[in-house]
This record gives sequence, structure tokens and C-alpha cells, in this order.
Amino acid sequence: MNGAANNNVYLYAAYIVVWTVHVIYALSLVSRNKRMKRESRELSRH
Amino acid sequence: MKNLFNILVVLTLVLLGYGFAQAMYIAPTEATMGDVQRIFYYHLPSAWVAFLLFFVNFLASTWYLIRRSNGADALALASAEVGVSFCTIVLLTGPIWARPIWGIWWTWDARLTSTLVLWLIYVSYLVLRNYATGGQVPVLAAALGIFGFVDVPIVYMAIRWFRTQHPQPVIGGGQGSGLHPAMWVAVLWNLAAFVMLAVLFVWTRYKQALAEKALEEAHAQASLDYETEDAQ
Repeated sequence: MNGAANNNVYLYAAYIVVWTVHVIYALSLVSRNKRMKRESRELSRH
Repeated sequence: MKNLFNILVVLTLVLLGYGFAQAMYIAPTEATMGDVQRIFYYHLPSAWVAFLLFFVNFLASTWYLIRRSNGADALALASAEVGVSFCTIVLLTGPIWARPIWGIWWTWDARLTSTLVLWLIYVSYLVLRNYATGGQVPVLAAALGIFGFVDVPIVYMAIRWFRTQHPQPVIGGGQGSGLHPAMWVAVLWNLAAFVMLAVLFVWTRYKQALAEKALEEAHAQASLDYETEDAQ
């Protein structure tokens, strides 16, 4: 029982890792979008 | 197009939610490994999606070398980038599963090593795309994408060709291998969810890559206009 409970830590860790990687990638896309919009605005201003 | 994207976002979130429920609560508990086996429902679909994306990169790279199409180049970049993120998940969830089951985080067997090499190949591809300069970068990257893809069948076949610590294949693995039908349901739901997520990521990154190219050209044109004005 104790072993199974300890192993669940690995299960939760794996799921947290999966979602962390996906969220970080999604945030990188959002931040690239913002940077490009800013650059595009600056370019049209000049 | 924006409406279709939003519909896909909602559909993906629903699939991811149901896939999570399948993996954590609905699929039966494996008899010998217990609940930690549920890592497999994210590990295997992530690996298949990574292979699929590297195949898309291979096709787009080939198309780019034949036609020099900006669209193919953008698709190659987008699929490699998203493929690396899924491959990263495979390389992280595998050791997290291995630690309680094998007692070790990592072993240099053929499957694990060839997967690490695959990840390194596509990370090099992204480093080349992001840090090298010059007009030949997309051509060099396309060549790397085409030759790099050779590692995908090696990763897939490694557990068939060599004696490995990694578990035997769930498809075509011979007697005693395979999955309980209820476990297949969880695998397929999560595969569908991850494919949809990958489509959304690739779609977004593809549009960004095209916009980046247009922005670069606009910058180049603006500096050319500036120099011409200066000369006059």
C-alpha cells in the first residue's frame, strides 16, 4: 500500500511535467505573437 | 478561419479533459505496476505525435528543396519545433516511469539512446534555424530534417531489432504483448487529444513563421529605402 502510494508521486510528477511543457510552449507562442505585433507596429510607424 | 481555429481550441480542450479522465480514472489499473502505469497514456501518444510531426517536417523539407516554397519552409520549422516539445515529454515521462518500475532513471539501451539522439537532431535543427544567418540556412535545415528523419524508424524498430530494457511493443509485439481493450480506449482518446493540440500549435507557429518572414522582408526593404534616401 505504502509502495503504491509512493509510486503515485511519480504518476503526478509525470502529469505535471507534461502540462508544464505544453503550457510553456503555448506561452512562448503567445509572447512571440506579441513581439511580432509590436515590431510590425514600430515598422509601420517609421 | 478564426472561427475554425476557435472551434478547434474548444474541441481540443474537451478531448484533453476526457483523455485525462480516461487516463487517470476510467482505464483499469495495471495488475503488476499499479497506477504508475497510467504515465503510459501520455508517454505513448506523445511519442507517436512526435514521430508524426517529424514526418511532416521530412515531407515539408523535401518539398522546400524541390520548390523553394516559403510555406513548406514555415511548415518544416513549425512541425520540428512542436515535435521537439512532444519528444521532450517522451524523454521526461519515460525516466519518471522507469524509476519506480526499473529502479533506475535511465539506461543506455537502443530505444532510449536512439530517442535521445532523435531529440538532439531536431534540437540542432532548431538551433540552426534560430541562430545561423545567411540565405542558405533553410536549405541546410531542410537537408538536416530529411537525414534526421532516418532516426525515426530506428527508434520505432529499436525494441524489435535489439534486446532492450524498454518494454516490448504494444502493436505487433508477438505473443504476450499488447494491451487490454479498455487501455486502448484511453490511449486512443489521448492520441486524438494530442494530435489536435499539435495541429493547433503547428497552425499557430506556421502562421508566425510566415509573418516573421514577411516582417524580415519589410525590415530589409525599409533599410534599403532609408539608404537610398540617404544617398540622394
